[in-house]
Parts: sequence; C-alpha cells; structure tokens
Amino acid sequence: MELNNSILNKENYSVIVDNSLNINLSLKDISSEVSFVVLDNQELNLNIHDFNTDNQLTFYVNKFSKVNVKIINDNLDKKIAIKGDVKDSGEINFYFADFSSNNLDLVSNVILEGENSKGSFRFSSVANDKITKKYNVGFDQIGHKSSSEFIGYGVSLKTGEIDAKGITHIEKNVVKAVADQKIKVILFDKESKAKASPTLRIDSDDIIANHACAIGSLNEDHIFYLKTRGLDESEARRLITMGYLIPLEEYFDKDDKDKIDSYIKENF
Amino acid sequence: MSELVIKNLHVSVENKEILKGIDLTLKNGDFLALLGPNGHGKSTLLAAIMGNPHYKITQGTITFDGQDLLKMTVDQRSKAGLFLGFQNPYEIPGVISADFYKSMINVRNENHLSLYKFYKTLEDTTKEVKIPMEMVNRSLNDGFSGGEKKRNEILQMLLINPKLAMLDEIDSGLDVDAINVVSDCINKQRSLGTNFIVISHYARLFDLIKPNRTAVIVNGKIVVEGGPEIFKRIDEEGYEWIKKEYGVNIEKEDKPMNSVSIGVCATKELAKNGTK
Repeated sequence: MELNNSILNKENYSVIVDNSLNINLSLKDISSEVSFVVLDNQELNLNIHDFNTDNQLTFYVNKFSKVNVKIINDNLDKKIAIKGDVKDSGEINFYFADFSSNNLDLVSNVILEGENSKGSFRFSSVANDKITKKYNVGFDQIGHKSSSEFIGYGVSLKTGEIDAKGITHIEKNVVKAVADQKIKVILFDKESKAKASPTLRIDSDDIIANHACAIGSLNEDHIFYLKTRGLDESEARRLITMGYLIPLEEYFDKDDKDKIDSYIKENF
Repeated sequence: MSELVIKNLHVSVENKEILKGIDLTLKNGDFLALLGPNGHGKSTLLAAIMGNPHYKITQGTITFDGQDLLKMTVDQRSKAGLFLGFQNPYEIPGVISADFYKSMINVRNENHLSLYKFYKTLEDTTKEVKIPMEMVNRSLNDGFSGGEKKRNEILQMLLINPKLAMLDEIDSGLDVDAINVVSDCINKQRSLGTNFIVISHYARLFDLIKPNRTAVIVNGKIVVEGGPEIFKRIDEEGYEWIKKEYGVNIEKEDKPMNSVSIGVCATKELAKNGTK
C-alpha cells in the first residue's frame, strides 16, 4: 500500500504501526522527516523510492516486531539520517541499493536496546565519476544477546569515491552480543578512491565480534580465468564487478530487482 | 585441422627461468600426455601457451594454426580454439556460473543462443559431467568441492568445444567414479576432433583416455618423447631411469634447509648432526 492519510499523523509526520504492513513510501510526497512506531508483535516492510535533499527517518521497533527497510536511491544529491531504537527481540534490517550518479551522505545510528534485539545494514553502491558516496553506519549494543551486522559492497569508477565507516559499540556488561562488519570496495579505475574503516568499540568481554575490510583493484587472476574462456578484458571486469553488487538484489522484489539491474548496467 | 608449433620456448617467472628451450609440435589427432617431476615446468608450459601474464616469454615462438599466439590476447587465444583446464580453478564470488557460461558461449557466436537453447544445452551438458543443474545458479566455483571444480572445468570444455584442450592435473581431487565420468567426457570431446595436452601424475587416467604421445619435461626441457610406453614406464619406475639413460640430473624442487632453522631442540639437533 502507499502511505496515506489514514495512517499518517500530519502534525508530527509519524506512523503508528499496529498491524503488519507493507508500505511503498515516497518522501517527496509527504515530508523530509518521518517516524515509524512499530508496536509489539508487528511487521513492517517499507520500500522507499523517492527522497528529498535532506531526509530523516526514525524507527521505534517494539518487542518481537520486525522492520525491513528497502531503499533504492534515485537521482538527487541528498543527505539521509536514520535513527533506530530496538526493544527486546525486535529486529530492524536495512537494504540500501545506490547506483545513482549523485552524491550521498548517509548517517545511520541504531540502538539495540533490548535483549535479543537485532540490526543489520547492507549496502551495494557505485560511485561514478566525480561522485562521492559516504556511509556512516553505527550500532550501539546495549541489550544482552543483541546482534548487529554491517555489510557493504562498493565500486568506485573513474574519479568516484566511496567512504564507508562502520562503528559498532558493545556497551559495558553486555553479555553474549555478536557484531559483524564487512566492507569491500573495488577501485575500478586508476583514479578511483575509497576509504573504509570498520571500527569495533568493545567494552565487554563475553561477546563475539568480527570486522573485515578490503579495498583494491579487481583480482588479476580472476580476470585471467574469465579471459581464458574468451571474455575480453572489459566483459571480464564487468562480470566480476556485477558479482559484487548484485547479491543485494535477493532482498528486493521482482520489479525492484529489474530496476537495480538496469541501474548497474547503466554504470558498466 | 589444428596444429600447435612451439620452437625454442624460454619462459621466466619473476626473473627465474623455468622453461629453457621447449620444442613441441602437436598435429591433428594428437593426444599428448605431459609428464615430469613437480616444479619442472609442465604447468608453466600450459600457462605460457594460454598467455598468463605472470609468465614472461623471453625467447622462442608459439604458433597455432599458423597464427602467432604471442601476438594474441588471452581471449583471442581462447576464441582461436584453445582451452585451459586449471589445476586449481579460481573461486569468484558473486559471478553466477550460468551467466558466465552464457557469456562464454555468446562471445563465440555472432548469433547469440536463445535462452531456451542455452538452458537446454546446459541441462544436457551438466548431465554428461554429472553436475546437478542447480549448481549453475551458484557463484562460480565458490564453495565447490575439489571434484566439483574439476567437473566444472570439463563442463566448460564441452560447452566451448575447443580445437586444443590443455588439462592441468584434471584428475587431482577426483574419486574413482568421477575419474570415469571425466574420462568419458574427454574421450567424447576427442572423438569430435579436439587435440589434447594432459598433465597427470597417474597412469590410471592415461589408461582411460589413451594418449598416443608422451613428453617428459625435466629441468625446463623436454628430455624424452615417445608413445604410451613412456608413461607406463614412469608409472612403474618413476623418473630415475631417465637420469641413468639420458644422463639428466633431475634438479630438486625444494631448496636445501638453511643453516639456521626454527624448530624444537630435537629438530635443530637433527639438522645439525644428521640422523646417525
């Protein structure tokens, strides 16, 4: 369903989700700032397509509720600020596909407050010539047995730049928490740029935390392997690069998958 | 018809000369078993023919069907009819096998295969190599077992239908049943007119695919050439007879132990005093 007046409170632009909902949201149509309060035991699936230049999304995820936010970035330079607070056994997942030829500055902070709360942020992104894409994704884990995951795959083309920071903080005395961060960026051309810093701040000792980061050009051995089968240099590079970006598609429905496919193909 | 002619080929890797003057001609219908001790240049020869950029050709020529291979890019060599089955095929996460196969076939055909014909071909070929069709939807070699990777190489060979297939230890990591499957596929491809160079350390594979020629590389040179009797003798006697009969000193692959070694006391004592 489209987000309509029946559930949107126009005074503070908030939505109370008291039934499980699937919503297609265009921020352009309503406001730059929208809050979602998801009551206990509900599920919200939110597809966001259109943005303003400055956007703020806030999510309150109550007990045993689940929120999936799927975002396909469109053609507009923009800032996006995301805030989240997740209670016991609540879950929030972000899937962010960004292949637009526009600058992006995204800051996301999610507090995993409740026991067994979960949060994840996955992005797949291309920064084309003269474009900078900034991701600053943070999780603050207060709840016991909380878990977070930040996985980012990016490709910088020509003079494009991807700057990805992940900061996960597991607070003091939290037990059995799990945190994973993985950032991979391909520098497609000689002038391409990337920064990546997966950071873990751990103030507790009964936890599992992993972080990994890789920035580099395409693996020459992989390119050689594909070339031995007759693919020329550009086709081999295109196929490997798309292999980095396409896995995010599995979280989107058919129409959005097609849209992501066409965005990726435009870039290569 | 296809003909591979290699003359006085010298190849270096990181300034170390591996091949020191290879002469070899492969004519139509030839099936060459390529043998030799580890580290003496067998895989280097196949990599050099295919155009691996890590291998520098310092001297010599390679022609294929009269074309100068050394002036051709890797993909041009492939399209000219060469195929290299890798000893350790690369895992490429994210590249879906079926997409890769489709690109591989389409670059060879001006008229691209229809989706139906492509999947029908793929279905038939996966049956031949006994790979479940579902595997084509997985990332290329990613998480495949050693045997699955080798079958995947054979699958690609069948899809490409090359003039010359070079298989580097295609039997390593295969169980008995899988060796039989791979052998059947090789024999089928041979019946279609493909020439072969096959590296293996085991006569079992050669017994099944029956090469008509054998060449043995030692110290970067082909020192013995002949028929199937050569690989049979190597299987029974190893390489020592080559040393005696041809006066070739077989260089060891491993470097001697340095005078300073890290280990437990007993190891250090053995290194210093010998086993006695």
